[in-house]
Amino acid sequence: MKLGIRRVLCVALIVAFAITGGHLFAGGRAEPAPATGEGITTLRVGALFPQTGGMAFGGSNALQGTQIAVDLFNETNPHGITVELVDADAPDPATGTTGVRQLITQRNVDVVMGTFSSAVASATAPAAERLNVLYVETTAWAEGITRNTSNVLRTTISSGSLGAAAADFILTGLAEELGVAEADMRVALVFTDDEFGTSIADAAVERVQASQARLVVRESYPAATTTDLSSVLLRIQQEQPHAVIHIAQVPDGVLFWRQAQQLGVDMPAVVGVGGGYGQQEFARPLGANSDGIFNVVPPTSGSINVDSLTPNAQNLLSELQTRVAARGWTQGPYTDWAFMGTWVFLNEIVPNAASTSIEDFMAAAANVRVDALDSITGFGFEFAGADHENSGQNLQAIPVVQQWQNQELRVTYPRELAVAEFINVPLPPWSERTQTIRQ
Amino acid sequence: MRINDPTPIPPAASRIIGAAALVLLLFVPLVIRDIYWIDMGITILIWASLATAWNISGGFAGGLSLGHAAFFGVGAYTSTLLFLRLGITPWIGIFVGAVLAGLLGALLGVITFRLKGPFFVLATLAFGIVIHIINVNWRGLTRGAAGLLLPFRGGPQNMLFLNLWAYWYVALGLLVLTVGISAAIERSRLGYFLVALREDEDAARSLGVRVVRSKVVAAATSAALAACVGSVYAAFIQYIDPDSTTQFELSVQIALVAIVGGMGTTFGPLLGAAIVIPLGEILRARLGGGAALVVYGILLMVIVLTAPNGAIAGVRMLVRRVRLFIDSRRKADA
Amino acid sequence: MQLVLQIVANGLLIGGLYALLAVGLTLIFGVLRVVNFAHAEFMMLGMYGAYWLWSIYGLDPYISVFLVTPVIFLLGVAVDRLIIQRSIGKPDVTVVFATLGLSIFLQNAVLTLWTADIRSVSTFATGSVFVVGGVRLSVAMTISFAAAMLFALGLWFFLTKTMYGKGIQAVAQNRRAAALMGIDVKRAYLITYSVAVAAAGAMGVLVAPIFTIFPRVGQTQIVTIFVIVVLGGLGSVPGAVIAALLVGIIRSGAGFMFGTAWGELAYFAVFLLVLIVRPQGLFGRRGAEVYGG
Repeated sequence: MKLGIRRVLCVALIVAFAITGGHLFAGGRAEPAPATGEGITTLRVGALFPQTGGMAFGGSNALQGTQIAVDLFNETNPHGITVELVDADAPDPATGTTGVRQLITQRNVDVVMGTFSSAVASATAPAAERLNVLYVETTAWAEGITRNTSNVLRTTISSGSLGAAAADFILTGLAEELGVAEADMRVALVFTDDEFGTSIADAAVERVQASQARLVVRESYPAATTTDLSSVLLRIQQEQPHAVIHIAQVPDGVLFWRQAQQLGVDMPAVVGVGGGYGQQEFARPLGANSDGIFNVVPPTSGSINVDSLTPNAQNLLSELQTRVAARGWTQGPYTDWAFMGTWVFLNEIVPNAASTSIEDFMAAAANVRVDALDSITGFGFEFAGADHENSGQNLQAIPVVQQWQNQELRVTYPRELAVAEFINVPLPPWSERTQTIRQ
Repeated sequence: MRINDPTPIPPAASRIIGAAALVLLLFVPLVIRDIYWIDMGITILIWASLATAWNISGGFAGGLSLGHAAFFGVGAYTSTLLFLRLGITPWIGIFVGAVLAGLLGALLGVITFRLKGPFFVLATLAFGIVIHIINVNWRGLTRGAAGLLLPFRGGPQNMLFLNLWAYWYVALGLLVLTVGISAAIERSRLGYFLVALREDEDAARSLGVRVVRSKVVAAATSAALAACVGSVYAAFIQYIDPDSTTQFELSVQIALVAIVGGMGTTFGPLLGAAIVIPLGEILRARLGGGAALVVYGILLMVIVLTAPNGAIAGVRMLVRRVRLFIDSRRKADA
Repeated sequence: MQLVLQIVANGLLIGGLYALLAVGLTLIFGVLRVVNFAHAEFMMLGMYGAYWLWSIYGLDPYISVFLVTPVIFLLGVAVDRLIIQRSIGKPDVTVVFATLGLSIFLQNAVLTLWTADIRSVSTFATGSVFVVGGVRLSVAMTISFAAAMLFALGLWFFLTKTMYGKGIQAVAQNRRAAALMGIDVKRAYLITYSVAVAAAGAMGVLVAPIFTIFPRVGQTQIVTIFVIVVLGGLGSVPGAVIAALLVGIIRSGAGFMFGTAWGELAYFAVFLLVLIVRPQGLFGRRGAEVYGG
């Protein structure tokens, strides 16, 4: 009995390997991409965003922006191209990776768009690359996404430029406004220990350490489980930095400020970098205490002077606002970035691509020139070529410094893009503020 | 903790079933051409191995661990870091990871062998979280939350394949290894010791069962096998970060797969993986993530409340019915 | 010195929040021998209750706490009937994973119903502080701290001084003997579970002015609470209170000295150490960890 089974197993093993072995070690794709003719007539777009788990909030916003861009494109449709949107949940890298494979092999999408989460994108963009499919990143910022891959077009900013911009602003514009020389400048850095926080923090640290300024606090914490930031705040109080860079999600961002008020920790200037600091949900609970808090991000429709945009862009924006409102959604910055990134991809790249191969998409992307004033987000589009260190990166996605003023984010730096003057520099000490109660 | 086992499937029959299943599994890639389903199949195999590894300490020895993600993570990170930093192939790294995790598992076993029930559960939970915090914050070694991307170089000699089918066979090999070890333990002296300890520790001790040694060996074996699965997972997904390797939620799911299938049996965890993984995927695709997890939560409650022996108990009942039916037919014929 | 006092005060206040959850969790374990993994989810539901009553009717959480707590109590009754009573006396696997399933269910039911949006409540108490000897105390945190201490005290009084409380203690010590003495064991379970989760819900309402509200907010607390109840000795109410304050101070102090990230590690290290050296916890019954109940 025993022997019999062994023999059967051995034979089966040998046969299986004989048949499949050739494939196994030859490499190459299991199923080659179907060759398409000249131009694209229908395009299936896979949208991969976290819709559950800890990142569901921003992920859903981004998916909504993508959805509206596709709807609008199909209705106007100047190029005779039909776009079908298929979405998949990507709460973590493993689910995202199987999601990419599912989208590509089962749902036959021609391009994958995503991802909001930097950690997920770090896994899913290479997964699409192995299946030879273009990956359009509209909302995740991690530097590595464009650096390690050849199939990524990123319409939004990279974390390296954000961290560097935050540090540069502190060392130049802010130092000047505060009247502190660079050599005397003391900087604190507080960040979440996720991919989002650490990748931005690394770039900021590099920039501060290259300057004469001193980095006096460098603290990270887990965004998902933090219920108390008082020890970080007491460190800040002890070290008396001129400026604090805080990279946070919404809950810990709000907690940081509520506890700063409770503990009476005065900070002359706080510079957030995207994430929580860019959301209404961050500013609303803080009320007037949010006035004067900085935020470094790619601009959004909410932070720029919309009147300076071209009529086309203004129409596009009001279209987006109407549709967001009609569906009972809320328009956040990620809605804007996902919408505009998708819109540019569909209108400027897809009609000019000969086929859905990565090479044809990249060739079409190389010719894209969208002016900042033609975009609802106020930054233009021009993609880095294959020889660039960050190939596929939108080089026009340059961060600006916004400031919360009366519950709205206004661009205040660089001066030539500013729509408002600085307020509250330095921030008033807590002892001089009045308590605010807001509904 | 009593696992009712009215009719154990006889060894000969289970061997035949196992061999037949293996032959079928060997040929699966020839039948299924769709990458999505292969992908799902590999995921099931990986989870089956992981749940089998958990089952050695959780099922046989009765220590419900909620910290097994730690060992999985140690395996994934060891083989990946050895490959990235020193160029050592994961084929070797997988064993280094297993040894490291085995030592950690033994250490945890020594610390916790006295603890019972909820105390043991919470100790393993805390251990898992300690490893996770270290993983997130020791950025010089693990790169923290940025994770590690396996660059695609080398090919088969580095456990990196362009063709998904290859992973099917790697995962299948891994499953054969874990199930083989699990079955060997179940039938060995150690296996009987563990079950005796699980059922009544004092009685077992008085009969001469070496308590500490048995428990520590089980914990170490279980940890080492979980680490092997971690190494294969890393090569398969080609990106690892703390949240996908050492997080608490992962520990919960490992235990869950084994429990749904039926803990304390060799085939239970396999059945569990075959049920839970596709179900999760289908629910997620059909209902969306949130609603899927709502169903997941309800299912989990219903299963542990109404069928704590898992799905394997149902299968056994079926086998028994069939056998009774055949027997009665034979009698009738005679 | 000022700084040290402030660190201790911060630790004590946050410890008070932990205590309100930990007391309930430890009581459930002591009496029912169930580890309630869904405990912090009731806090989350309490937070949402506070949010909706505040945003729709403008009710201050310090008023709505009297409306939300009874609702959570009733929910506790339902959960006890449907799930908890059915898992008592079953193998460990049922006891542990039934409440884990409940936790997954509640989190995602809320996610599906009310989306992942991050909500917040702002009241007069949100930013206000009072200063005692140079140490700044948040009004909202102080109120919830006081509520936690009152609850723990009231509970202790109830358990040790009233007939009914003594009955529950008898159930905790030996459920069979208690039943033989004519104590309605099922009723004792029901009361214990519902009171404990109602306390968690009340805590949710009270902290709504401080923390933001989202479906996974319970996850931020639960592991810390487990550490606390084991440190205090599973089943020991005074132990849970003292351990909660201790963990608050360790976290706050270690966070200041070593940074938040490694501060987290500090109390897990203490936890593992206690498990090795004194597994019954600081105040637990000797031998409980070995017999497991």
